[in-house]
Amino acid sequence: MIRLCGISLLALFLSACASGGAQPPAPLSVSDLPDLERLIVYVNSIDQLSRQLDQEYQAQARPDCPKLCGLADNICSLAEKICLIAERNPDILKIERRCQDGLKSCQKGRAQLDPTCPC
Amino acid sequence: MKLSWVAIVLGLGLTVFSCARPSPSDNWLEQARLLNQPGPQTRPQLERLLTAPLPPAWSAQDARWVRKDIHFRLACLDLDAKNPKAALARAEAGLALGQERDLFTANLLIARAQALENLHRDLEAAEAYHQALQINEILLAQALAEPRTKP
Repeated sequence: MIRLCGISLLALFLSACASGGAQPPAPLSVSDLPDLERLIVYVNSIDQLSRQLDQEYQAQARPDCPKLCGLADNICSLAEKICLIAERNPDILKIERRCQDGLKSCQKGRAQLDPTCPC
Repeated sequence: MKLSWVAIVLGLGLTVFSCARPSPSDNWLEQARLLNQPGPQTRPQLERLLTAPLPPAWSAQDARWVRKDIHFRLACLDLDAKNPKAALARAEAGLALGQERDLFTANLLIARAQALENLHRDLEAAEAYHQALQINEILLAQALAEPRTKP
């Protein structure tokens, strides 16, 4: 009796999750399987639905743009400072390399933010 | 009966006495509040904060962050006062507390770089700026990997 109640609750949970906008799961035809295997199938279905919901949530959630833009700005302004020092010291190749590294990091940082945060 | 009254009165007295004494947290908060109004007292207040007893509830990490931030603010005051040697010493003192991958360390490295630049030690300045840049890169990568906020 308790097992039946548990399985009913699982089935109810599955149908509730399916109506929440996620892709409805394929109908389960598990009536012929032994209880334990049936339970495993249900648990796997719950896992799959939970992952789908997480993905949908992540897709809709917003990143912390002010924080991300602030860090990207820091990288670019520090690169700028290094390049200004490099300009003053054209004979020191190490500084020029640091300048180029910094500019690459600046571009990379901006590119990482482009699709989500218009800084 | 008489003894229990004495105990109650003594207990009350002790409670009132301990509540009336300012706790280290009160001192810290009051001093931090005063620091939001920069003036001629800012430097001595910051210096006092460096040696003041910390609130007992603070972790060693929190205390280190606060002290690093105080060293950074003192270094900035030295830079504003056109004293790059003092600023460099302040930045070094802050960095000596531990170089972690956090904004406090990045700020100290920037202060160090500015002081070195003013002292015409350009190669070392570029290296310090680059170290600060690398910390910001790590922080950006961490922030990008953080869970997003609710829509």
